[in-house]
Formats: sequence, C-alpha cells, structure tokens
Amino acid sequence: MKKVIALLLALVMVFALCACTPKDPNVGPASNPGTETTPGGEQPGGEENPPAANVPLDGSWPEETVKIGVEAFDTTDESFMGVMEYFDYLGDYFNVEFIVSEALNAPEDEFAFIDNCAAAGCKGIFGYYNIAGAEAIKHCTSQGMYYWGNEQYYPDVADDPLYVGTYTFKDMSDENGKNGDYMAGYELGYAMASAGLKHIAMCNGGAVIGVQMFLDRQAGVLDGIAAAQAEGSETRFDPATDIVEGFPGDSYFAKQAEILAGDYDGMVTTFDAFTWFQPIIDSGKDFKVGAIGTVSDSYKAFVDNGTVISLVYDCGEVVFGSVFADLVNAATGHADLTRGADGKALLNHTQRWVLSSAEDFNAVYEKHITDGEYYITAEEMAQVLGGVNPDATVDDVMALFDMSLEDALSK
Amino acid sequence: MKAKKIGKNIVMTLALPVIVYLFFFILCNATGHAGFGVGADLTTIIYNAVFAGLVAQAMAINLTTGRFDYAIGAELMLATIVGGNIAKNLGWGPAGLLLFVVAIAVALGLISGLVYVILGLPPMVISVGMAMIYEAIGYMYNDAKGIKAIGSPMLVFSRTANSLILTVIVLAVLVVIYDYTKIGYNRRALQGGQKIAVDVGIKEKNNAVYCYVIAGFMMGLAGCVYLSRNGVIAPDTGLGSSSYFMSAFLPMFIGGIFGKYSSYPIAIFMGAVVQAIITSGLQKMGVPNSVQTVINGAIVCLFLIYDSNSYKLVEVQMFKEKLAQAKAARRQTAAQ
Amino acid sequence: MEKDLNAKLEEAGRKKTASTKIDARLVGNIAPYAGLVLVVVVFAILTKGALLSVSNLQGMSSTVILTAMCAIGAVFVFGAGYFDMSIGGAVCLAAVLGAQAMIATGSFFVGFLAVLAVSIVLALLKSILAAYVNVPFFIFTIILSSIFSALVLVLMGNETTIYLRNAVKPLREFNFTEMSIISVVVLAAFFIFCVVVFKFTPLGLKAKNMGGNIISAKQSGIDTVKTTVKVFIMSALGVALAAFLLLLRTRTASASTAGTVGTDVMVALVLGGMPLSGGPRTKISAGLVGAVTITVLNSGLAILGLTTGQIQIARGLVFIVVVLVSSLSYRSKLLPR
Repeated sequence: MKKVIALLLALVMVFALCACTPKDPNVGPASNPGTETTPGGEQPGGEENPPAANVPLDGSWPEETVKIGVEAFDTTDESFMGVMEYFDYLGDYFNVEFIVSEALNAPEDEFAFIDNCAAAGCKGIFGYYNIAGAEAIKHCTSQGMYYWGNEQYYPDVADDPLYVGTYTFKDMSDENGKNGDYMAGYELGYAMASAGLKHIAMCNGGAVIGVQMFLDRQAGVLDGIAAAQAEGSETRFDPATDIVEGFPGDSYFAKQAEILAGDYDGMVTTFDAFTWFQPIIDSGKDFKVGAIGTVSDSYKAFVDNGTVISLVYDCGEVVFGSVFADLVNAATGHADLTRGADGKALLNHTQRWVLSSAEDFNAVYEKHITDGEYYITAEEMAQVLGGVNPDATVDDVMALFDMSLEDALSK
Repeated sequence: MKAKKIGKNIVMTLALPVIVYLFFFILCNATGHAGFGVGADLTTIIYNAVFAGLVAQAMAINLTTGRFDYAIGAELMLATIVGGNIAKNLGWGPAGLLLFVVAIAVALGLISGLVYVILGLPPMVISVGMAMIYEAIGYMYNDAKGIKAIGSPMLVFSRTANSLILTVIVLAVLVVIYDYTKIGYNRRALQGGQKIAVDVGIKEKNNAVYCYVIAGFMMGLAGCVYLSRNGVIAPDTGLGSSSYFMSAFLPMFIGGIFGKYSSYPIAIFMGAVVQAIITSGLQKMGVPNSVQTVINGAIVCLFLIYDSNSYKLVEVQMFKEKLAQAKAARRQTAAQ
Repeated sequence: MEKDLNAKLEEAGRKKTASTKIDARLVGNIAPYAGLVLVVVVFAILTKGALLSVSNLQGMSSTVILTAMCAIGAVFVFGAGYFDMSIGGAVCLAAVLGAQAMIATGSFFVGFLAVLAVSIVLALLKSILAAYVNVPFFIFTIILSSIFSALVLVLMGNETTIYLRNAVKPLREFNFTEMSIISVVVLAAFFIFCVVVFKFTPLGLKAKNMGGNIISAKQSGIDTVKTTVKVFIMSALGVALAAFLLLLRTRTASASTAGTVGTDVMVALVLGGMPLSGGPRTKISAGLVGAVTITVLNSGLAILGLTTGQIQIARGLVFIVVVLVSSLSYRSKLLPR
C-alpha cells in the first residue's frame, strides 16, 4: 500500500514539476558567472543589440530575454502586487521577465536568492526589499548582476558600476534630505495631524523588530506630527502611550481595542490598515485613518465613506518605473543611461502621492482598475530605453518618472 | 461530602483566572494605568480567550496523545479564505460563513488525519508537509488576495455575546465527547498507554482520524471568530501559518493542570482566559512587545514544567503518607 | 507429519519476514541518497544545467552550510531523543552577540569566542532542563526559541541590524569564491569530526541507546545526564560554527537572522532519513544529506522562476514523497507519534 502511494506521489511530483517549468528556451547559466566584472559593466549580450530606431514593441525586444530578480518581503502585499502588475503589463511589450523571491525573512535567505538569480541567468536584481543592506548589494554586483534600489545604502554603493540606481523623494538641493520611507511617514504624520483631529494613535509595524524601513517611517511620522503641532495643530499624540507596536497579533489587537475605546479619533499606520476597518465599524465611532497603501478595491469603500482621509501612495509605474528603465538600459548595453553627471548611479527623483480626497483616489482608481491603464505607458517607457530610442538621454529617464499627482491627473 | 467536592472543584476551576485578574487589576491601578479589565479591555480579553481557547482545543486533542499537528494554522487560514469567499459571494450571511468555513476546515482535518494514518509517518513530519501544501493552495487561490470581508454582515462571531454562546456550546459538546463517548474513552486509553490500548482492541487509526476531524472543526470555528474580528485574512507562506497556534500552548498546559477539577476542555478555556488577561495586563502597563514575549514564554515554561512534573509531587506525597503509615504501624507494634 | 509441516511453514514465514525486513531496511538506507540524486537530476534537467553551474555550486555551498552545520550537530541531540526546535533561536542569539563582540573589538577571533561561548551556555541551559526536568521537550524548545529571538530584540534595543563594517577596526572581507572554499573546508572538517565522535567514541552509542529507550539506557549503566550535556555541546559546536560563518558571509546580524533554521534542520533530518524520535537508526550523514537535498531543492525551484505558490506546493510534495520513500522500512502496528 505504502509503496504504491509512494510511487504515485513521486509520479505526481515529477509531472507537477514538469508542468510548472516555464517554457523558456533561455534558461541557462548566467552569462557572466565569474566573480570579477569589467568596469562599466557592459554585458556581452548588450553588444549584440545595436541601437535600432524601429524596434517593434511586441515582446520581441531585447533579443535575449532580460531576467530580473525581485527581492520581496511579502508577496501578498497589495502595494507590491500593484508594482508587479505594472511589470507584467510591460512584459507584453518587452522581452523582460521577473523572478520574484519568496518572502525573504533573513539575511541568509536574501543571499541565497541572489545566488539563485545568478544561476537562473538574471541580468539584474530589483531590491524592493533588502535585509543585509549594502552587503547584499555588493553580493549581487560581485556576481556580475546589476542592482537597483535601496536609497539608504546609496552612498556606499553609488560608485559601483553595476549598481544602476534607486529612487529618491528628497529635495536634491538638500544635503541632509531624508530617504523615501522617512518622507512617506512624514507626509502621513503631517497630513493626519493637520486634519483637525483631537487625539491620534500610530501603528509602527516592523519598527518593533528593527526593520529599517519601518523605523524610518516611524521617525517620519513622529517628525511630521511634531511639525504640524509646531504650526499650531492641536492634535494630541504621545509616543509613550499612543503607539500600537508590531504587526497584528494578540497584543496588537489588545492595544487596538484600547485605542478604539479611548478618546482617540484617528490613527496613522506605517503599513496597510486592513485590520482596522472591521473593528472601526464594530466600534461605531467616527474614526479617521491615514495609511501607506495602494489604490485598490480594499481601500475604495473606506475612502468613499471618509474613513481613510490620507493615503500615501507609491504609484507603481511612477515610483518603480525607473527600475525597469535603469535595469533594462544597463542590461542592453546602455549603462551610460544609468549614470548621473557625476558618474555615480542614478538617483531617480520621483514623487509619492498623498491622496487626501476621495476625488483624487477615484481618479487613480478609474485609470488603474476600471480602465486598466497606466500613467506611464509602454510606449513612453520605450522612449527612455537606449536600445529602442537611440536618442534617449539621462535627462529623459530622470524626467519621465518625476511625475506629481497633479501632472498625472491632468495627463 | 459530595457537595463539598463540587464546591472545591468550582473554586479551583475559577481560582486561577480570578487571581490573575485581581493581580493585574491591582497592579495596573497601583501603577496608574486605570481601566484594566473593564469595558473595551474586557471585550478584548473575551475575544482573545475565545480565539486562543478554540485553537488550544484543536491542538490539545492531538498533542495529548503525542501528535503535534503543525498544519492546524494552515487549516484555519485555508478554510477561512476559501469558505469565507464562498459565503461572501453567495451572500448567505453568518450561517453561510459558519457552514462553509467549518465544512472546509473539517475536510482539511480529515485529509490530514487520513494522510497520517495511511502513510504512517510521524505526525510532526506529515503535518509540516500538509501545512506547506495547504499554505500553497491558500496562496494560489484568489490570486493571493486572501479574503477581505470588511463590513460584511456575516461577521458576527466575534461579538462578545455571540462568542460566549459559541464557547458554551463548544465546551458542552467537547465535554460530552471527552467524558461520555467512546471517542473520548478510547482517546484517553491511547493517551495512557498506546500499546496496551491497541492490544485490547481499540482502533487507533479510527480514533486518530476522529481527533483530526475535531481539530479541524475547532480551527474552522476559530477562523470564523478571527475573520469576524479582523475582517481580513491574508495567505501565509513558508510555514508562517504557525503563528495562529502560538498562543495555544499556555491554555493547554494550564488545562492539563486544572483539568482534574472540571473537565479538560473547560480547564483549557480557563487557561485561555488567564492568557488573555496576562496579555491585556502587560499591554495596559506599556510593557514592550519583546519583553512581553519573554515574560509570556517564561510563564509558559513554568506551567509546562509544573504540568509535566506534578506527578512527582504526588509521588512524594504518597511516599510521605506511606512512611507515616509505616511509622504508625511500627509504633503500634512497639507499643504492643 | 503435521507438526513438521507447521514447523516448515513457520520457518518459511520467518524467512519471508526476514528477507522483506532486509529489503525494507536497505530501501530506508538508500532512500535519502536516492532522493538527493533524484532532486539533483530532475532539477539539473529542468534548469538545463544552470543548477550545476560553477557559480551556483559555489553559492549553494555557502547556503548549505547554515542548515548543514546545525543539522549535523543536531543529529546528536535528536539521536538521544531530544526534539530540539530552538536551534534557529540559538544561532540568532549567538550571531548577534558575536557580531557585537566583533564590532567592539574588530577581531574575528574574539567574535568567534563570543559565538562559541553563547552557544555553549545555551546548550548547557537546555541540557540541564532536558536532563532534570521532565517536559515534552520539543514544545519547550519551540517556546524557548521565541524567547531567544525576543531576547535578541531586548539586547539590541534601538539598534536594528548590526553591520560588521561598523567595527572599530576594519574586518577582512571574503569574496564569493573564498567564502565557498571556507564553507566547504569547515563543513567537511566538522562532518568528519562528528562522524568520528559518533562512531568511534562511546558518545554515539550512548546517545542512540538513550533515544531508543531511556530507561533501558539508564539500567545498562549509561550516565544519561553526562551524555545529555555532551550531545548538546556537540550541537552547540555546530550552532557556533554556523553562526560564525553566517557572519562572515552576510556581515550583518539582526533579529531575523536564522529565522527558518529551526524548521530547516527538522526537514533536513527527515529528508536525510533519520527518525526524529532518535534511537538506533540515527546517523550523522542524515544531517548532511538532508541539508544538501533541501538546499538543492530550494535553489532549483528558485532558478526555475516559479511563483511562490508553485514553489510551496512543489516543496510540500517533494518533502512528503522523500519522507515516504525513506520510511518504507518502518513497520509497526502502532501509529508513530
């Protein structure tokens, strides 16, 4: 009996694995498996693709599939899924594939994923998430792959020819500007504290377990609230008693209940707010929410009914569009389009949208979800790819993704 | 005599929750954290107790017979996501939610149990494999979106009154199963001595499958309560679903200690109440999360150690009594 | 006449059971290796050789080390009947304190001493509890593991991730190739050391006896307390080396370090063909074979570029199949616990 089952299961396993295999002829060893790389980081494949003016956007260019590994923290996160949907859309126009990691939890998992991407023949890694900081970036580039992302570590790796850039939200004229996560928190904290609320609370997510991104966001929220208070806001907030620590769990829910029962009339969270809506409904209170999230069905009802009054939104194509441009440019022999005037990797200045009205939210909702369209189309993307448009310049790349909410809505 | 015993049993059953409650009540008030254990705090305590209580029942029924079921968290996640979405789409209200989630959870429990008895591998190993597969299905279902039922009228199971009614019914059913049915008797026989029980003709495989089904049932109920409270459940990956049963240990060990005064399921629930009070109390006093984990862990360890070693105290007691008897007997002989 | 026939029948029956027993045992012994070969061959074909490219072999050698070191050391502990789920927590605590020591002194050596000391202290703690307090050990260690990681958070305070580049003196960096050489050498040395200790000193035999039946082990004169301490020390050596090499490779440590090692070790031992309840079928090779299998499996699945869901299902199926094949020799009227 057991032997028969074992055999059957083994067969199922083999068939399942075969069925899962992507039908891709290009699976092979990394084109650049060595440890040393040439300065300038020109990939051999890049030379074979001379700039051509009339490149069809039907998924046939680049000739050799450009594979990009994506480091993810939570593959079920809506913001992340939104970004990946945009890349899927681009996949219909360009011969680019994405390999998404499983939820990365520890530095060693991150290193293993980078190794596996190298073996899978990836040209580059998109660090949507990063655990080991600059060490992970070095580990990636030392294997001949390009790396995009993680503003915090930019100073450590900006001179690495295989590091192709990241986004930034800071004012470039400000030497001590803060990074994107801090700014997201700041804008959210400022907006909530300026909304005329009496007493607000805050959820700090991964800050309690020391995740840098959340610490930055928390610091931003605190400063944002302080700034609003300095400008005369009477919203009360005390970091000692008003913080809900960590992610949803027993003590999180205990604190949440305390907040909903107390004299609070709003809260700001450094991650999504989904676990708040049902308890807010049950509490019957008029309670306002500010969150970092994405334009999706999950938020729509609560934006429409006025519960969510401020949503800091990283529009996938605007904030992360430069991932595609920078990595594809580098991988197709146009690494020059990823270097700024100082020869360092690009700091793509971009804009984070603060959706503070149902009108703004619904405009984006209609574009993305109802119409299935994007603010940066594949055609526009093509214009900043050196392999498609030989006239593309670094300035074109920089300009495309620096799109404010007003620009987008008037587009 | 009998009335006295019943009185003692009731007192012992309620003693720990009451003592812990009073302890934190006094402590919170003394340290200037007013409002512990009343109003919203009480609601939270009840919710946490009901949820952890249900999960602990599911874990206990197998763990006490030496079977650690790693897949119960994944059962809750998968059943609630799939069942919840079906109920939401059909719009059958609370009854639909209960029906579909529990039915799927029972089916998953049944599958776990059958795989275990058919393959005959250690339960820890089987259940890790099952958890991986359940998580994968939960992830692939509905494009990894899980379930979002916020605001749906079917989410009624976390309301204090409803969850208490649910608990009473569950406890009544469990007490009957544990103390008055063949399943319960056989389970206890297998718990005491596996080989002897099988040798006297107890069908271990059947009993194991029943236990897995009951565990699935409990996880289904826990899923309804969880979804009602939070409105959303996201799929887990990489054995992350184990987080659903991490709060089941303390109630189980407390249940093991106090079970003799009432019935094991009731004592487990009392344990869940104790745990919920501790969580709320520490939260109220503003103890940081990581310190809470350390404190909770230490408490669990203490109860675990006591639970597993209390028989030694009984042994010592018996030894003392015997010694006293022997001494008395010797004195008697010496006197004669 | 009838008596003769009965005797013959009985003898035939005995022979039959004996021969199937040998078969089953053989299958059980070969299965983990067969599983490993199967996984390697299937994924080498599916990935069109990418799995076995030089760079991926280097990468896998550095990846496997964490699970392998812990699992090889854990064979002693599991073999003696202690189901230890706190290994990941121990690696994390050791790595974080070791990293702090390295940063404070700028010396790998001091860091290694710190890692070793922490591992051994934790091992002593566990062994004392295991030897003197009668608890269901694996539940106890699940809880212990969460305490370890919480302790890390308490210890680190507001620091989130520790970076070795912040050391008072710069610590040497090892490149990809160096790292894989170090990994292979240390792994081989530790493996041989453990095999020698397990096979050629009484410790292995004592541990197997304890895992088989602790009462009979006591009655046959084994000092179970001493043996318990020794097996946990062996495990601590694996933990210390793993934590140290992890620091060399990632040059960072945080509360999430080694988060999945606990379950990985368990899975590795199972895939390596070792009963988790310990006892006479315990073997050191289980730790290594299992760790390599799981690393190749994970690497192959990732190279294929499957979605998370597909990876999960494939991993679950492979896991159950390999375990099932390697367990064909278990024969018992009772259900295993």
